Amino acid sequence: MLVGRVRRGEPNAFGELYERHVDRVYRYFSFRTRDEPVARELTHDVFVRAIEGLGQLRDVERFGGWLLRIAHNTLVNHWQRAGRRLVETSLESHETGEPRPVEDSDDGLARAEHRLRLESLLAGAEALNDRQREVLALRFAAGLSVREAAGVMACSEQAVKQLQRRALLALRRSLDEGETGR
Amino acid sequence: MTRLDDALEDCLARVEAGATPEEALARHGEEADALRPLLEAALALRGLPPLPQPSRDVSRAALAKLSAERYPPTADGPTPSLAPAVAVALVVGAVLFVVGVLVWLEVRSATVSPSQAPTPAVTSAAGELGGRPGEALSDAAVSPSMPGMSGTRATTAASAAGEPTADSGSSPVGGEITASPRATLGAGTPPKRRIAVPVPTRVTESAPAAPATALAVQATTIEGQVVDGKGRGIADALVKAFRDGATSFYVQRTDEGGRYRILVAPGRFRLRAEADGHASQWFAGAAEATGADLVEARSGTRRTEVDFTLSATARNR
Repeated sequence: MLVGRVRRGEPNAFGELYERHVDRVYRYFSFRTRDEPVARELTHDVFVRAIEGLGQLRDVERFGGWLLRIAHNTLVNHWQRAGRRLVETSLESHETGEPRPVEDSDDGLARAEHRLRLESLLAGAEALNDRQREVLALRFAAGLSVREAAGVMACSEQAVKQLQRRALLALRRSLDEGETGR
Repeated sequence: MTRLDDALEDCLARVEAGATPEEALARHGEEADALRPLLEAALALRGLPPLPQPSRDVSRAALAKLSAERYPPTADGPTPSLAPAVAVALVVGAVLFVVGVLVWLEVRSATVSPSQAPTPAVTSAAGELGGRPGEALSDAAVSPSMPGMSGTRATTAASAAGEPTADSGSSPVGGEITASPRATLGAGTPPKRRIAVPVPTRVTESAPAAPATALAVQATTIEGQVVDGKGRGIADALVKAFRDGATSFYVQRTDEGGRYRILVAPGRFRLRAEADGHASQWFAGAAEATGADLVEARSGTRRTEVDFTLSATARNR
């Protein structure tokens, strides 16, 4: 197991573990915060905490769910510190600002349209309540299974299924309203 | 609605397995119309972009170093990729040992004092590691170790049987730096405050005549304390150092006394402290990054002190 290899200090094992899980954590934060720099920072924090706690993880098979639980707790702490603001001021957004690629091709246009659709989705998600956003973030942004999402949210699998259906329905309605309102 | 929930889950699983949305929906007849908008919304959410490559590379490199500190290679055997190198090292070590013993026997037979025997030794330089300066500690071993606090640095610890350990860190960009309060060999009680090490620990494994290998000092530390309004140290707070003009940052947790130490390559930084139940703060006292002071960590300076005083949030008062 990869987690075991990291614990044994095998070279490159952590890199593999990181590559396998970093996008699901980052997408979770992207969806929840809608702030790219904050999502990057929180993603890094999650892995710092994961490294610190990896020695105490008993069931290594559940590393993915365990990692997203850390992400969930990190997000809660982040919002507590930020006074529950969804977007926190970050250094990058004010000063250094990582340069964005210039999209000057057909492929770039397609990506720009894709980004617009995603931003529309994320904006639509603002109409959802917190539990609904959380279930969508865990299930579809982070790609957790129903069982893993239930573990993070401390509820039954059936409750997750029900919640995700309602969340998707609300999201769809929000998007439709946004389109007809234009 | 349980049936619809399960039908949606079935559609998602089928799409995950390679089916098209229409193929997945076709299996649910009358419910397909109700399922379609849900499935479309779910699939759209799966298209969120991944972590950008530059951030990914920087973060992975820093975290890999932290992981290497926290989980050094175990003693239950080298990994396959390291086996050849370890084997070569063992052979070379054995040859050197035999040669050393032969030389020692020859020298001894020439009536040289026994105290000059080529015993593998760890020496403390200029007294920074406690004990007597230059004193040799026999039966010492050198191994990777976890420092007192986590952070983006690699660490080597020199330990002798029955003695406390001594740490020396290296920055993410290379270069050996300072010793922690635990960096005491021979003395019973560690010093109360941190001591920068002007000359790094020297480790020698050869005969006394062989020159010791001194490690270059290129990096510096930013260190200090995070306290609450009453001056009490805040444990487990996060201190982040953002290099001016870069998007990466160093991160470190405070110890029980609220103290932290971040090993950095010299440069200018903005620092931020975060702690549960307290308002986050940029140094010196700014709420936003734009109001943060730039702290210069110079290569000629052993350490730069930066302290934070965080006020409790309303619910924590």
